Amino acid sequence: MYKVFTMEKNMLKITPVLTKESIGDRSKLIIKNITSNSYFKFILRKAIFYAIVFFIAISLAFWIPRLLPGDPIASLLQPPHNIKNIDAWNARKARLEEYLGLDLPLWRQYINFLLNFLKGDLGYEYINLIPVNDIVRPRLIYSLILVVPTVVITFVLGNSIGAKIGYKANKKDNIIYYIFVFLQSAPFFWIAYIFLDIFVLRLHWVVADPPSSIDPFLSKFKLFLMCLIVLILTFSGGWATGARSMMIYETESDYILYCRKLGFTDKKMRQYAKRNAILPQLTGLNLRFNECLGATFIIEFVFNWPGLGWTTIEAMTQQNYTLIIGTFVINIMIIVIGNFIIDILYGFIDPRIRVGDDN
Amino acid sequence: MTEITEEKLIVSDPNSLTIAATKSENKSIVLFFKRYYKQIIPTTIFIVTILFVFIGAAVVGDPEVEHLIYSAKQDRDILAYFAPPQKGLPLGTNQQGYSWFVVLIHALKNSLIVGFTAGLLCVTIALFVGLIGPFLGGMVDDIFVFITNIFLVFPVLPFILLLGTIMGSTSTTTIVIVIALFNWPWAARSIRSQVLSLREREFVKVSKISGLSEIKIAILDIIPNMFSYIFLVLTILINVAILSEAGISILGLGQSDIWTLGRMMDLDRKTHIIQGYYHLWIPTGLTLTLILVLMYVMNTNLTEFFNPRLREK
Repeated sequence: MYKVFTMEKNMLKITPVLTKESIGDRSKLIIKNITSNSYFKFILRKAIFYAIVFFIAISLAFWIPRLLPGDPIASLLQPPHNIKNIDAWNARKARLEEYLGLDLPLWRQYINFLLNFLKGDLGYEYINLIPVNDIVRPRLIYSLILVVPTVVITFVLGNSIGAKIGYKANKKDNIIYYIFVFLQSAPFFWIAYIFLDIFVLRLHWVVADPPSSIDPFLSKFKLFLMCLIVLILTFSGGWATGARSMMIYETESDYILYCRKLGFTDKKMRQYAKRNAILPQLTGLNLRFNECLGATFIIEFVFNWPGLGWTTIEAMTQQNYTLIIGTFVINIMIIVIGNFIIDILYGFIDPRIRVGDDN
Repeated sequence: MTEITEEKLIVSDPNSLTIAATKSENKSIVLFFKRYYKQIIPTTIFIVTILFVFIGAAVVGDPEVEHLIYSAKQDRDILAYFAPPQKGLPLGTNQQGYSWFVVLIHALKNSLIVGFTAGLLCVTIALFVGLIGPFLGGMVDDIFVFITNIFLVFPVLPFILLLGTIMGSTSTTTIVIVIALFNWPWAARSIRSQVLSLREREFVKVSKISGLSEIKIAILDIIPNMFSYIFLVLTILINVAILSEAGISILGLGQSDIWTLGRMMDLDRKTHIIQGYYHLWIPTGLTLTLILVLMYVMNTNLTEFFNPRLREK
């Protein structure tokens, strides 16, 4: 107790060493920080950045089909081999041509594309002439209920386990660590295969048929759980191994050694180290979110979960141009908005970003 | 005087010297192994695997050609679509009658080649962006950081899907380029931060004072000091590339020029799991898993080796 007291006393002694001038500077700086509100600036900067990313991605979606060799747009307008109803095909073709505005010059088409998009009009789907918006909206929800819980649960679960096994890193902890190493580096789709084989094909607990229409959610609940478990299993590994090595790094730091010399309790030191170990992990959240979205696509496809990924691949096999572009745009929106939210959260949790200078 | 000559004699006795030398050498090898077994074991296994796969692929020959030879000889009973494992066919045959084991060896070899090529391409881009930015500074650096940040959040998989649909079919080259194009940003970012910290070291300042040009400093001072780091980044990128290739193939966007683990797993998903051919789909995934785990363990242990602060526990 006495030692702690002296430490605080020393710290108090150190701070007033500042001269009057520097104190003045500092108070000015604090006032400037509050008035300029750098957190607001930070958010604004991020918003502009993501708007640019969004714009570039959308533009690529327009230009790539038109500039690639082989004229993919023209090949989309060819009737399929075994066509039965030629009138329906012609109507479809006319609809697509009208939507794309193929008789206009390329730059007009581009502006139309952007304007249509800003109006929230993604055009009509190519096979049954249903508005793309109506198809994509429910699918979006199906994907989000997988992605968001996965990201949140794996972050909390993986990091707390990783911090726990990194603090002492004894033999028992290392066994858990190697399990996580396996889960991290094992291909998630192969684990999905194993689940598919055991629970769907052998035990018949879960039905994973291709969805004919959007079924009521409850009938799919078991399938939802299975997708979620596979995603959580495979994505907590990365967090846990990362948090473990950060924790080992932290427990060797000077402040922990000092705390140990001062006789802090284990619990307290663990708490300090954990907080510092997990904070840098937050910077990886963007990357993980994107990775997780990609993985969800593949899991959806393997398990026939009617989310966005499944829809995209379905559209792809049908060569359904407007639906492909529609799902692509929605995907970009999820990524951009998700990353933006994560950045805002990061600024909220780490005060250095909120109050720091503009670097 | 006599004593000294005696001593000299003993020392110059060639036999005793060699014995002492071999003893200490043996000891040092054992010590070296004891100290670095965590690095030596996975690396050795990895090198042996690579040798085995490449020599094996050369020995067993092409699966398609092999199939033709067998069918010409009428060696296998009706050859065997989905033949069970038997002598000469360790994993049986697939739908086309190819020996799945032969296919597996070729696929592993090709996957490693695809991974290595894509990884090397990634590292080259990352090194270029991460090195040029800090050295030129100013606008160029800002632009490079901006491009890196854009690629970091760019929606990779939707984009690959879009590209795959529009192009109809993909080739191995396209896949390698697409993988390389989307996986360099984080590598570039971490290489950049390494370069920034290295630039502040004393030896770089000495080089600057002695009048070396920026390019020479980058090549002579910075890159050699980052060599271990670049190697580690490369191993991670190879892992990522192998996994990405498999992911792309499973979605049905893979190439069909060569056998890769991804193409095999695509077939597994389409037929083998549903029909319950465990001898076909378990080995494929297990091989992929083992090679990825092996490379991951090798990478983390080598990181400990190059960064001694992590080595304590």
